[in-house]
Amino acid sequence: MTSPEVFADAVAASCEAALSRVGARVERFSIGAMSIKLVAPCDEARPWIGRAFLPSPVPAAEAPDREHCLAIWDGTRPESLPPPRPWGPTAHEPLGVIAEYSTGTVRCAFDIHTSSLVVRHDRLNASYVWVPKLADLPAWALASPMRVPLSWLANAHGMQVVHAAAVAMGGRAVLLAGAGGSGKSTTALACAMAGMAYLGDDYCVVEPGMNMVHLLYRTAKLFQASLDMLPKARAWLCNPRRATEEKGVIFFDSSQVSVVPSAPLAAIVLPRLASGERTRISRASRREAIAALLPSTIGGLMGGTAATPGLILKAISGVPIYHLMLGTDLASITDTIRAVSEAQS
Amino acid sequence: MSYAIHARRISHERLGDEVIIINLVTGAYYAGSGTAADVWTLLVQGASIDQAAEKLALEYSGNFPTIRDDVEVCVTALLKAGILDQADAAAAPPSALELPIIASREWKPPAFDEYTDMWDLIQLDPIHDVDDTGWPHALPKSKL
Repeated sequence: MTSPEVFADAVAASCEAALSRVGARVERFSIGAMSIKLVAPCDEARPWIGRAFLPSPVPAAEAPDREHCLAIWDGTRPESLPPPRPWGPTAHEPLGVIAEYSTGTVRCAFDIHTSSLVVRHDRLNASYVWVPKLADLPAWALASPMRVPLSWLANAHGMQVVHAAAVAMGGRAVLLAGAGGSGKSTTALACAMAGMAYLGDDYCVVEPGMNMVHLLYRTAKLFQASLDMLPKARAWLCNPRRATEEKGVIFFDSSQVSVVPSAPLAAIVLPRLASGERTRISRASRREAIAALLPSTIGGLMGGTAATPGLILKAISGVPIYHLMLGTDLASITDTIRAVSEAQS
Repeated sequence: MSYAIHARRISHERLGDEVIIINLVTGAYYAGSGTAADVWTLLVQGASIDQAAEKLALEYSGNFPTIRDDVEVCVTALLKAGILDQADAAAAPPSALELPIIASREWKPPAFDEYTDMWDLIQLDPIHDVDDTGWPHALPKSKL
């Protein structure tokens, strides 16, 4: 039986060989103090998978061995495939993690949504992702790429990827947590278009030890109803012809909204749609914050890791938490978020 | 009888009055506060039902038989959920049971919020199959 280490070594070799054949582009980005080197195919036939990340403004890390390598490749021709899987066809169920091949130093998973193999190899300080065909990835996948290996990496650095949006004003971030359809994206984008800093609409990274929120993706994914409320955003869609069939996807640049890499966490709000025009707030409990954050965070991150419960509890422990009953008047939404942020100054 | 927690399968943390327990294999999670957090804290320390009930009756100035019944119901539910296992009979008894210092405690039957439908959440795009290469293979589709 192939050991997890041997399999991970073989995956690394397959990835390196494939990227050397097609040509690789390297781009760097950071999440808090984590430096990440993204290595991915770069040719006209494939979309640039790193478009969702905010490129690091600083040069490469002085100690390259501390930089995590995140490599992705694709292809279903024999020379491009990852090594044969040493586990059974349903070993990835139910969460995606291959338990028998997830040890202290190697972690393997299969993402059913993109048919991708994910392997983290601690000894090489690297993560590898294989997908059948990068060019076939839909806009939503390009808007939040490699979420699972990044969440594992974040956990190893005292951070947690959470299913939440975040905006900031005056250096104080408000984390918006709730299930899909609760109004996170609409609220975040409305606030960003009203001048607040943008830290993400779907997944963000919290760092409880530093009380910080970090941007993960400079993208937004919006339902048709949200686009109807924010018509200006329609012009920014990368998939305008498909916005009625799938979520409209936006990759932000600095001319559209102010995308920032990090901000101190000041408050957590739990949005939900409500009747009336005016948006209202009321205090919420930590238990309600857990209920808003945990299911979709765990579900979207293959269960998380052993560090997840502690990091989530610490993230919610030191900040005020509010229910946000969303009205239909956008100005009322942004005014309320602004008031929540200012109240923590 | 004391209880064991499978370290590779179960991740848990208590902070203040809240506890979160995640089954890393199934994604099911349990969150509790107050009495639920205290019961969990004692079980983690190796307490039996009787030992936990004694400690809780002392801390809560409560009625031992009532508290014992409530703890037993809670433990039974946790065993059924696969969060707890029965410990090896040879496991050493706990030397001293400790609970965090909390200003005031009022006994209520311990209850956890549970979310066990993670598979439904994950399968929002359920189409996947195994192709000739042996890899599960599906065309990506839109989700959410």
